[in-house]
Amino acid sequence: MLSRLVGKEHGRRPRVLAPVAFAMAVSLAAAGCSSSSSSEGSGGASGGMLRVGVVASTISTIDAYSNVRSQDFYVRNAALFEPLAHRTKDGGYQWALATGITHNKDNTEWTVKLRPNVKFHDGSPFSADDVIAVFNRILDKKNALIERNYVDFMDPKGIEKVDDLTVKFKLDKPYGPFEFAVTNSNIIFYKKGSTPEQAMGTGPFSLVAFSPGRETTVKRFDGYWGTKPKVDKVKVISFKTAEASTNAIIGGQIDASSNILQTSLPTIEKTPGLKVMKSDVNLKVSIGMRADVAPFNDVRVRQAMRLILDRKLALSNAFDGLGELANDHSGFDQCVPDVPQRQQDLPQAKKLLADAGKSNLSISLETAANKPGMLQLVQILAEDAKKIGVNIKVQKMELGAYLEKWGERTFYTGYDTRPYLEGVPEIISKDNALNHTHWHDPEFESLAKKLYATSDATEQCDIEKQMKKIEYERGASILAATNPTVSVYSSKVKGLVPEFPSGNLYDFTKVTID
Amino acid sequence: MATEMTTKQAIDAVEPVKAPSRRRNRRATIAWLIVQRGLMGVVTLWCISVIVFVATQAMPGDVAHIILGAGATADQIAQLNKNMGLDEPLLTQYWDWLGNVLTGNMGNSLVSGQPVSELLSERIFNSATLTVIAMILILPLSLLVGLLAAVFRDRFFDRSYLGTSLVVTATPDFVLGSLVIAVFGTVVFKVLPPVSLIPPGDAPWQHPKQLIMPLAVMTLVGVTYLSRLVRVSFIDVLESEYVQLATIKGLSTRRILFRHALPNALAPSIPAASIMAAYTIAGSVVIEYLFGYPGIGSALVDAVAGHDLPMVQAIIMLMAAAFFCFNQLADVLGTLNKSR
Repeated sequence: MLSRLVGKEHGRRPRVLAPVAFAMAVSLAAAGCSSSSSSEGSGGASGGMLRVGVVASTISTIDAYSNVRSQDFYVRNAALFEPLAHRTKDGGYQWALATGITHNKDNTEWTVKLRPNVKFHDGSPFSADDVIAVFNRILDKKNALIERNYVDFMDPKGIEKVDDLTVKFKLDKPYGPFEFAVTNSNIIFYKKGSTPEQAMGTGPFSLVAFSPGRETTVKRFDGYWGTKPKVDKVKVISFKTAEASTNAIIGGQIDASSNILQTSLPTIEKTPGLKVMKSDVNLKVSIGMRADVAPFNDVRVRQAMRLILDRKLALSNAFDGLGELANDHSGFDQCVPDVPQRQQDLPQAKKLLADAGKSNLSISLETAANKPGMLQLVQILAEDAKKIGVNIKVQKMELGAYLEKWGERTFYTGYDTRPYLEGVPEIISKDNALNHTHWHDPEFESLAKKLYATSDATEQCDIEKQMKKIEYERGASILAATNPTVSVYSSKVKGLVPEFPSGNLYDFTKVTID
Repeated sequence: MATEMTTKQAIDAVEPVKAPSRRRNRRATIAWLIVQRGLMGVVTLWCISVIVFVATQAMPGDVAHIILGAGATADQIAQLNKNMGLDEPLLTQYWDWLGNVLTGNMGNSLVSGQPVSELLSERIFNSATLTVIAMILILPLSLLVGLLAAVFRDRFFDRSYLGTSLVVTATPDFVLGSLVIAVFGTVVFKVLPPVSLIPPGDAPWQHPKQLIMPLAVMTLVGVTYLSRLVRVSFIDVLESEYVQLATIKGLSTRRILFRHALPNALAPSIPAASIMAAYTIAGSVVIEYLFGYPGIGSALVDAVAGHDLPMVQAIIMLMAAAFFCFNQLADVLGTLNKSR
């Protein structure tokens, strides 16, 4: 957008350059033209400082469970703290602070074995007490932590310390995907009794300095149990907007960022010394249809909306062709049902609407446009709808106002970034804020019960396929295409990998700087 | 206007009195004037605090939804509102805040829970630095450019200056800033840092390169506005009878310009400069946001987006106080000039 704007202004009003140059000269003179360049960002094959740009709030805090969750929160936490395990692309686990999880026959008792010889940044040992303290904090309703949604099947009273490296979780009823739930990347562990400001984790980096909304500096933790980082320090620099972050990477002020303006990619690709990295495509922008009120309480109207949208156009124009087509079911591309890729079919959509008595449907579609391509996606849908006499009025809203009525909107946008096992509890929830489409399908909900009662991965996958097929046939969301996270980094930086599943830059342990 | 009359009347009133008692009276009048203006300032700031509070409450959306996002349940929202004290009646919330402010405590950020003063102290210093340097550049440059334009009236310099200043004045700061970033930071030359990254704990002047672009835009906008006023003042003075007489007497151009014209042309520009300073403070919000400069302007944008009332209140009050002071200064200088 910036380059487009500049190009336009440059051609239309070249005289503006004269005063700009004049002011530049004045400012240069006033500032003494002195240089502030530093050696930051440079280093040898080992050592040096990596500067990572993130988009962050002014008022972020260092607390591992802060409610303020800008991008800096996640990047900082990934450097300082660790979960029990990291989920892998193949649906498995790479154990981190745990070494394994076992369970009884009916899935009501789960035992977590913790990794021995893990040390906090102050040198003290990590143990079962720390795990219990963190779960108690998460489960305490007074703390209003979003992580409780992932583990609310637990009762704090049922968490027991067996020994220093073993914790037992006794559940009131069977819960099959326990491993999946407790390995959520946001459930991370700090030292029991430490203050949030200490950021006392076990991660590969320890805290050096934190300035809210400005920057966090961490240094290599030499007592780390795993592969020790190669760089000496990482500086996480906060920017207010993706525009600023993009400008900073082009201007060489940072070495890497995953908060990049997608529209600036053509400029970035032409910039010498910069490399572009695309993540796996796990983010889907969704259009929700509230299934308990007219017109979307009729499945024919929901299916018609899905048929109206030209998905290929949406992929190329709204998401810059970076992702892949999606097929109206949530979750990642594992355990996918055998159904054809849905395509635009305007005659069929028109017929379905006529059958439902909604031929001249007129409806508002509300969006906060808070993800790349979201606004363009709904505009494409609105344009396509006009072709069959359906009037969709797109209303763009400020995020705060948009979220205030979350769960009450009839036709609206959202996004899905979660693995299926994490998303289904919300889809079947009785809470309107979680199940914002208000879609209740008895067969789907019955399958969900079976899904969470088994711990067998093959059986889980079979059930997931059936559930996704139901979503495809009569669900309440339009999921048109995926959109990957795009990261940009300096060619001097080696060893950066996109994090699974978010695609952001979190793992700096393998990074070196030429 | 009422205050201006009061000042004038006060000064006029002391005119016929003899010298020592006139000085005493003048001092008393000025002291009373300061007290009066101070009281007016307090009332103004209180009114602003009420307006900001009401406006923030009227904004759609609430802070708990913004913090917890779309995945939060109703009981989590209610709990967070309780934790932040937002379940109290509005009047109670306002009085609590006002009570804290009167005891010198600006309260805690709703979102992070950290003291507002802690979050803002360095940013206030950074913003003040940017504004002061901008004013140091704007004032002499405006004078110089305005003087040259007046001296070379209707010639090439004057016409190109007027055309350029018209374009700059008509261009929003945001567009101007984006253009400067693209030309000098990212697309064309890449000679200056496009984002003003001042490391925490460092004074802005320790990183002069980071200041160039925001200062350039602020200076450009300020100079194009103020120098037009200076130009008009100078043209008025240069056309006056006493300057014509000085020319006839054969005085040198330098002497006429700097000895006779400058003091008279400067007088009406000084109040305008004070108002310019006030506008520069308000305008810094856009500039700081655009260049990522770590000042109170960029913090205000975030605080408003996050509905963080104590932060919004503190920043607006600071800006309003500065705005008020500069306006009062303009008022006093204008009045004193008239009475002279």
